[in-house]
Amino acid sequence: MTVSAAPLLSARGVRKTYRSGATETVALRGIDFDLGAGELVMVMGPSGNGKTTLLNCLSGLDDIDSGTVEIDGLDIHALSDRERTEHRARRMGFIFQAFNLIPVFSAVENVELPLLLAGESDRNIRARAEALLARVGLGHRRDHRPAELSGGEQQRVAIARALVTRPAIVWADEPTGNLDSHTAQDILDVLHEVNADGQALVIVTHDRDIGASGQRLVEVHDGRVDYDGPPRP
Amino acid sequence: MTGLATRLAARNIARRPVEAALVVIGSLLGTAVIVAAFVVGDSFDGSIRNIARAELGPIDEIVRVRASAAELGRRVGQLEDRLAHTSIAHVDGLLPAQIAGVVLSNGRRGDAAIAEPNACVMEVEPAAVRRFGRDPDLTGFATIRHQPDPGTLYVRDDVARRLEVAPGDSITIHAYGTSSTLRVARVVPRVGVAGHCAALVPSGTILELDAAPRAPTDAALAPSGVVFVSNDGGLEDSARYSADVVRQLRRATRDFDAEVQSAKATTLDNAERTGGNLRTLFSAIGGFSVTAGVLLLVNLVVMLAEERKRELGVFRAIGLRRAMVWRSFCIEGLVYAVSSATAGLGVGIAVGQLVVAGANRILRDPDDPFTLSLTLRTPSLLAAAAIGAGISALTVAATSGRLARFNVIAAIRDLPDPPRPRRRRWATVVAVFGAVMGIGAFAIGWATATGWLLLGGPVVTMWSLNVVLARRFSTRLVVTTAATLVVGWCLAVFPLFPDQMSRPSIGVFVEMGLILVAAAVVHATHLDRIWARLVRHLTTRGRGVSVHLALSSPLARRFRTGLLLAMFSLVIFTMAFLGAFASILAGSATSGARDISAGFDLIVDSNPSNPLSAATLRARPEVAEAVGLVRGSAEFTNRYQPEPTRWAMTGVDDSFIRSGAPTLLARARGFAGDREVFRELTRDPNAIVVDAEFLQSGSAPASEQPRVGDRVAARNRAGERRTFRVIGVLRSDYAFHGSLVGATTARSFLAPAAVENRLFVRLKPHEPATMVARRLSATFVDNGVSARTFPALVRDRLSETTGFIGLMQAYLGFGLVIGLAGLGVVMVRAVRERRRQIGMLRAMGTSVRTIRAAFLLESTFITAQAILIGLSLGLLTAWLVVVRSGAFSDAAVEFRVPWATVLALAIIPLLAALAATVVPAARAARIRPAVALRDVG
Repeated sequence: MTVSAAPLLSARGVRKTYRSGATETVALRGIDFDLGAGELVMVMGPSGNGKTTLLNCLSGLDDIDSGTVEIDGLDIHALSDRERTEHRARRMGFIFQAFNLIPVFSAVENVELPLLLAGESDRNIRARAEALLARVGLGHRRDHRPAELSGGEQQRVAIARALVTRPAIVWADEPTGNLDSHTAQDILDVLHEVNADGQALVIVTHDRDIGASGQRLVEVHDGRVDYDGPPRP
Repeated sequence: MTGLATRLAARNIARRPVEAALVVIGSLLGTAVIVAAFVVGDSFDGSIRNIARAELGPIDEIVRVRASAAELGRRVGQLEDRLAHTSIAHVDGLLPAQIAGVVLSNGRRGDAAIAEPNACVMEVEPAAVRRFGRDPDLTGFATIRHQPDPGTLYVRDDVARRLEVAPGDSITIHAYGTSSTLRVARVVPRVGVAGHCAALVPSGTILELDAAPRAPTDAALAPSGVVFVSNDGGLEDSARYSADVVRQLRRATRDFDAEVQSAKATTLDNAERTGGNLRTLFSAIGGFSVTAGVLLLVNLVVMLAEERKRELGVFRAIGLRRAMVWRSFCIEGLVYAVSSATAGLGVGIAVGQLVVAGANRILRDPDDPFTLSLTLRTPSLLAAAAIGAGISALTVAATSGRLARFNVIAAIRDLPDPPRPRRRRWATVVAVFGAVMGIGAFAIGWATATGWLLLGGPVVTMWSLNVVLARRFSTRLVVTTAATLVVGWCLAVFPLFPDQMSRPSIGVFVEMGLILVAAAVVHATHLDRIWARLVRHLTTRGRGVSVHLALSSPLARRFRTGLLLAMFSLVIFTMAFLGAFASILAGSATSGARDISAGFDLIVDSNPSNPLSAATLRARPEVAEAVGLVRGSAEFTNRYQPEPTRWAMTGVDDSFIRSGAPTLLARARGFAGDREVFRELTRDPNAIVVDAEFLQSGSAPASEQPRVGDRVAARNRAGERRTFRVIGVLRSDYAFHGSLVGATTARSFLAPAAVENRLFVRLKPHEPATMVARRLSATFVDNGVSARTFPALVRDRLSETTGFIGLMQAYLGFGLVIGLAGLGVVMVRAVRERRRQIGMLRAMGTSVRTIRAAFLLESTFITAQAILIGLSLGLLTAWLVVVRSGAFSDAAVEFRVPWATVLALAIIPLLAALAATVVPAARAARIRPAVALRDVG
């Protein structure tokens, strides 16, 4: 996969501190990060060292204390909450360890939800959602609710949901953390296929094998990027 | 291990104190409703009992003789002598007195003229009063040493207030066609013997009034000589000897033509009965609110359990026994129950106070000093709080017991519980048993005219059969079919079984409301496919994300939505029913007036001691005809009332039916029309027409009604007995005729207490009836005249009922508060429960507006359904029960949609529900996605 020269996302000096009463925990200590279109980046590091915070701050899910995060040339933290939300709906997809499907929606309803949120007026929303479900191997489970699906199936639905709007960036936070190794590999294969289609993918993981399967590895330690380069052998 | 359960419970309460407080607030309302019902009952009981203190004191029985004033002294002396020389057990005092019914006026003219149209004055010896009974303080004469001086009187404080007089002012006494003006020497408190009559007058006053010359046609109710009797014991416990003492007094005065009244026992019985009835009525109506409270509590416990499911699963996995989980829930629930009962006690007292204030406004009568005052009785309050706490604790225990049976793995993995294996044989046995019991209940209900069994039996059978049928057919089909049949049955039962369902008790009404609403809610919660189609239609057009989000949760969580819906629908159903009932009653004023008017324009009542004669009215230019009715009362017994019960008797002659007759509900065979029935009264001295409520008081079963052909035994004041045959039953008796006989019969049987003090008046053409009525009342103030048009009379009679219905609606409004508080609590908890979902939705790009709108729409969706269910069923039931079946009214009633109530019930709950959801919706919208997604469950 080739990566274009101009970064899709460019973060500079991103700092984030959590405050709880008198206690302050510095999660990110001035991080610089670039992401090119279609890039596959693995983010690794020990627990509690800022990986998820980095993902949240770069995607605009969480506010930052200082620094800038530009996506498509827009400083997303300078946008209003409404603008940032609309931007997320158009340009980003999310996959989480806990799947986070809407339990009262069926599989296909979960997948079509981002299309509705993006204001798609296409009458074929349902067809597009069904097609994507079929692509992740769940065409036959479309009317099942999350509680009726296995963990692997739920994660596939979550992937389909993250991809259905064809976002420029897909953020995945420990997408295989709740799955057995066989299912995890299946999920990873699907994510590689996604990346092969040209969508940038940022995956936060603990798993060294998964970390080694990307084009680029970023290691976060104590709120700083310790390593940013090709996967270590 | 109990320590662990306690610690778990304590930790859960302390962890979220605000939500714990919300649960307490949500569940305290049920206790408050019960406490308020008890407070209302006790207040009526206490206030009526207060009459015993205020107007009787040591007086337990009254022995009365009637005679002209000239004879009265001698007669009373003989009576007292007889009683004093007869050994009567349990009597500790006798007090002779003379009493005359009078009109009192303040003697002013124009707008300042105020009259007390139905008062009495008494002559009594103060020294004798102080000796009467055991406690002079109870007589009200502790400080009254002498009779009023000649030319003066002592006036009771409440009468002085109403007449706006003070010591030194004048009061005019009107009686027996004459007047006498006395100066107020003193205002005395309304206590005991001093409170028995409006004024104490000097000896000789009654004789002077009665001795005044008058026309021979001006027959008035003669003054009465009384001997007050005091029983052994204190103020209230002396009444326990009353039945025995009355028997002895009757024996002793057999040849005296005397009437013996059990004054205090009757007052206290009335207090107990009225208090008990109102306690039952308010408790039953409040039952809807209490049920709503129980449903709210179940909902809250289910939500709490679901929120903690994963945590509890982990506890179970590491060795916590199921019983411990249940115990922990129970302890937590018990803390909530006790806290809510304590707080509910305070709120209930406040609500009771409001109801008492409302009732006082409704019962306010310028001629009646009765005032309802708040009475708080510790045993009642404790009992009500204990019932509230008990209901809460039982609800929590039962719900927790069910919830504690979760699957550990499913709980840890946040999956739905796998279906439990069905115990087929047991289920079949229980279903068959239930079906048979239901059929049995129906049969017993039909045979014995027991409404609640007749109504409930088939419902139990249908739901029991569901268990078996659901194995063969789809559950949805079986459940919705059963719900449809149940609704149909409830709506058909009154028209189908008019005899068995006549005069339904309030319990039947509550039962029907609960069944109807439950069935309708089952239906509503199974409409998910229709809603899903609608949502689909909206969302495929690229809009309505908030609608989709709003409807998905309530449709998916059928049980919880059902609880909320039922909670709201129940209250709205009852309010709509009561509103329609009140509207129908108010609308029946026209037909009611037609029923009683017999073609006349005005009804003119006057004081029996100073009656207005028909001749006087006939002489007026605006009057075309005035017909007199003879009035009095006798003691009756009949088929269903074995206790001698005093009831009004009215005598009519042919002139009464010259151009019409009151409408009859039923008449004996052989009469071509209602008028012929009344004509027969003037010919047959043993024929009687009675009102539809005849003798329905005391121990008479409410389901019994008089029938044509009934034999009625009557006993007059002299002890003479006569048997009457019922030849007609009045459709409406707003005029309180009680029973109607020929005028000659009434005069002879009720003498000397039969007086022609009611006139039916026909006006000349084009005379404005209302204005003439007002003019007559003002002109004949000395006669204590109350002249009214028939519609005005009916409206006055109905206003108390409709007022009480309004009070009930306001009381039920409290149930609505429960519903709204519940909705608020449920939405707050829903925000917490869906925190991660909201976080994910926000991450995907759902706007703050959409999240907020989704929550507001969700509560609107539930409330709107509840309004629809409650309103439609409430109005439909009112139409069927009140109009079609005639179970509540024998009068021809016309269904009227109470538009004001309908609009209020459609708009207020909806707005209030939105208001209750605003805060949770705002909280949901404020959730930061990154923070919500960090939560692990």
